[in-house]
Parts: sequence; C-alpha cells; structure tokens
Amino acid sequence: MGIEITEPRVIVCEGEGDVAFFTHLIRKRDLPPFQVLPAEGKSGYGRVLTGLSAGTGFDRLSGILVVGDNDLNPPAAFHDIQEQIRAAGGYGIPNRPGEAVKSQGFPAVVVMMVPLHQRVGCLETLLTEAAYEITPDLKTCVDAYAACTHADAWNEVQQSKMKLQCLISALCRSDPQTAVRYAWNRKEDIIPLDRPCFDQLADFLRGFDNLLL
Amino acid sequence: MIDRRLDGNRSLREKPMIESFEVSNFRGFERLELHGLRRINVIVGANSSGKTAFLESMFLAGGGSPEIALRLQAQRGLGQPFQVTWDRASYESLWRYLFHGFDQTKVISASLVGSAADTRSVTVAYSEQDSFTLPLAVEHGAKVGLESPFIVPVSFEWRDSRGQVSRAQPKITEEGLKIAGAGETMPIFFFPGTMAPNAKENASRFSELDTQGKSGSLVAGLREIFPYVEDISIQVISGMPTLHATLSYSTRKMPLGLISGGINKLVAILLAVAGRPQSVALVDEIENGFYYELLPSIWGALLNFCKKNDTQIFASTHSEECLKALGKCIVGSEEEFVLIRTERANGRCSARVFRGRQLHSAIEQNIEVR
Repeated sequence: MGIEITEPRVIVCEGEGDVAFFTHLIRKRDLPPFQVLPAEGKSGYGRVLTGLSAGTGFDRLSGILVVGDNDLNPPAAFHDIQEQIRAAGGYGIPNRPGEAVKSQGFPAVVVMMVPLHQRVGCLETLLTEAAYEITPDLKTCVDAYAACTHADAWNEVQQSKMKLQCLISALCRSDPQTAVRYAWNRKEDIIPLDRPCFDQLADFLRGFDNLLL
Repeated sequence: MIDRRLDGNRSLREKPMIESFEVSNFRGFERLELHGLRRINVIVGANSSGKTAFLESMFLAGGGSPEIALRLQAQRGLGQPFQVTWDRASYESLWRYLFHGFDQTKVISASLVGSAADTRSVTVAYSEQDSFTLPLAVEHGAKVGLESPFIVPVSFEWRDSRGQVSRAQPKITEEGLKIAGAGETMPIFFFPGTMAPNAKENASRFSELDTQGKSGSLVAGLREIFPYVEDISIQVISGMPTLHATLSYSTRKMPLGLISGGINKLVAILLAVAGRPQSVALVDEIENGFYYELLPSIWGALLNFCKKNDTQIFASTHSEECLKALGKCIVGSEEEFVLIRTERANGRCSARVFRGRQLHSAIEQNIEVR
C-alpha cells in the first residue's frame, strides 16, 4: 500500500531522522496535523514533489512545507531547493524562506530553512543544543572528545552530526546504537522537544496556515 | 525491459497515436476531455470511477457497427446481444445503459484525435426522423396490436479523419434485431477484464502471423516469461482451431487456456498487437491472471511489442504490484507514459492525466496514485 495523502498539510524533509523529529514535535507541542514525508537526501525534494502531484488526495492539500538544512551556505542551500521545486513542475516557487507561493492547480509551497534566520547549521545543530540544555556538563566532554579525535577540524555541520551521535549514544543506555530517527522512541528523554530552542520551529508550524492566506 | 533501440529517431509526434480524447453522455461520463495521451496510458481509479467505461467509449469510437455497443453490454453481464422482443421498451432497453444517467434524450459522443488513422468520432442518438411503426404481431395465428409499436431508432454515426461518415441504425424486424450500414473500423482491440480471449480469433491471428514467418518473436517473448512453453501451434478441437502449447514438462500439447488464463490472455494481446501494427490495444484490469513476480517481464514484453509495432496501449489496473512492476520499465522512457486517474463525485465520472515523470516519481517514492 503506497503512502496516501491524508492531511491537508505536508512537510517534505530531508530524511527519516527529520521525519521522526517533526512527527514527535507536532505531537508533543499539539501543533496542527502535518503529514511528514522524507526526501531521501538533499537532492530528493524534487522527486517527492513530482510524485506527490500524481498522488491521490493531492487536490485536497492546502500547503506543502519543504524543510531544508542551511548547512554552510544558507543562500545556496535555499537556491538548490528552489531549483528542485522548479524542476518538479507546476508548483509556485518561493523567493525566500517563509514565503508562500501558490500556482493554479497546485497547493501553496513554503520553504523553511533550518536553523531559522539564515544561521549556518542543520537540524542536528538544534537537536544537539536541546540535548545540551538538559545536560550542560556534557558539552565540555563532547567538545573535548572532538578535540581528541581531531573531529574539531571538521566543518560545523559535520561536527553537529558527530556530536549528536555521541550524545545519543551516551544518553541512551537502553540502546546506545539508537539512530536519530528512533531517538524519541526510547524510554530515555534524550532530546526533549519542549526545549526553547525548538520554540521558533513550533511557532512556524503553528502559524503555517496564516502564511497561506 | 524495454528495448530502446526500437525507438529509432522518431519523435512522439511522428508516431501514429491518439493524442486526445473527448466523450460526452456515455455511462458515468457527462463530459470528459483528455489531452496529452501517450504510447502507454495506464488507467487507475476506484471501483465505479469509470475506468472500464473510458476504455469502452474509446472502443465504441474506434468501431464501425452498433454491434460493438451490444457486445459491451454483454461484457458487462447485461444479457446477450440480439435478445430483443418485439416492442419499443425492449428496443430502448438495449441502449439505455450506454447513456449517462440513462437519459436517452441526450447524444452520446466520443472522439479520438491524433494522427490521421487515429482521428475518429462517433455519435449515438435517437433519430426521430427515422421513426417507424412495427407491424401487427401474430399471436395464435391472429394479428394483434402492440403496446408500443412506434419505434424511434437509435442511430450510430462514425466520422473518420477525412470526414467520411458511416451510419448505422439497428432495427427490429420480424427476424429480430437487424444491424445494417456498418462501416470501416480503426484497428482497435478491447480485452475486457473478465472474459476469456476468443479461441477462434486467436488461432486465426496466430495463423496469419505464422504464415508471414513472424510467430517466432512471439514464441520467443513468451518463452522468456514462461520458460516451460517451448512452442505454439494450432490444433483443432471439435472442429474449432485452438492455440496449443508444446510444454517442456509434457509430451502432449495443451490448449493455452488450460495451461494458464494469464498465458492465454498475454498471447491474445501480443497476437493482436503483432498482427495489426499501428493499432490501439485497450486492456481492462491488465494484472488479472498474472503471478506478481512475472509482472515486470510481462510489462516488458508488452511494451516491446507495442514499440515494435507502433501500438498504443490503454491499460487499467487496480494493482499496486502491477504499477511497481511498470515503474522499472518507465526509467528513461518517461515521455512515453501517462497515468490517467478516473474519479467519481456526485454521480459523475471524471479523469485526469499525469505525466510519465509524475507517475515514475510517485512509484519510486511509494506515493499512492490509485
């Protein structure tokens, strides 16, 4: 059975870890329902958007939120997503993150780049910050470990991903091998979703329908 | 997989093909207009959304005799053709189910637009000016009046790309229903989802192909999918020529229909396609009769035959496995495919066309398109 479009709003994000995060954030914060779909990588947004447009229930969609990582070059990352939306065909193409653009016969499209406000980084940057918020002492340890392993020479995005994996392993005694996508399925509260660092994302999702007006 | 060498350098536009289709007042369709049709058109949709009616309306447009309409009714289980009694109600009941909302005051029209050979239309309407009165019936040796002897005949009118019109009116006579005035048809084949292929027709097509020395590719194609089928020949059973297969596991040749309904169906389709190049094949519920693991190679064989013979195919399916199998064949040939999804809302059927690229992405992303 294929994936049916069941909600009026869809989030298309980069991978399964992002799907898990948004699904749990929406539930935890009691946000309006979104259907969350993975794009299987940074280059996969266009394929999902193209496929969605042939999906049953597509006509009932009011808006699609494409969530991407800013990585090291936020304007370039946004531009790449714009090009994928253009290549998908038919959709309106937002000129900047947070703008809703609708074309005839298609739902409105909004792009949200993470972290917000053109900060360099990715979703893992925010997740790491959340984990540090409840275990601030660990930041020193993880930074020291990065220095010992020379990972501190990696770029900011790579370091965020490495540090998040370290934190999940260290905080999840029940399953130290837990992947990000299962981080919210364990009994340990590894990355609490009620932390202030997620407030802006939650507010964005809560106000999504207003963007479409 | 599709043999891409068969494509040559010809563009889609140069190939004989139906490019758009319009139908009005036929079955669930009050009005439908579809553009952008391609070589392979896959039709999906819920039950009662108009998939079969869509294929039927194309078949009617491509035909040349009202007998087609009666055959369509019979395929739907609405009685056998030519069973009509001697009155107006019986006559009109033959055609009622063709009309949208059973409203026989409307005019059914269906038109195929494409290359010259594929441009054709039909209208079906009651023709007041041709009305006639039935003579008195004879009961127990005496002439008696009829309850409704006044008959307005239904008129079928086909028009081809040159504007040539052929008209036919089925009439009730003392001998029964008489269909006169049948005209030329376009090469269009309809394979209903629930009916076994016609053994005599298949044997005749195979014989023609074999005579031309072209049956080898059909047998080879079949053997690729069903390795135990070594050869095909025609044998006569009770005076009826029937296709038989030579099987690797048996010394006795077996009728195709006895080996497998799926093999029989595939052979019927391939024979129609190979026997009449530049034709249109309408296949309802294409997945019926096929084991799921064979679906990719069955699609592959069908698509190869269609390309080799410039055949256009319209195939409906309910099956996710069938669509996934098709997904493997689309890669690199997206422009050759479209998805048509039929829907029903408020008693009316509608349909939309999606490009091959959309279909391919949806299958790849496991997005439901049915």
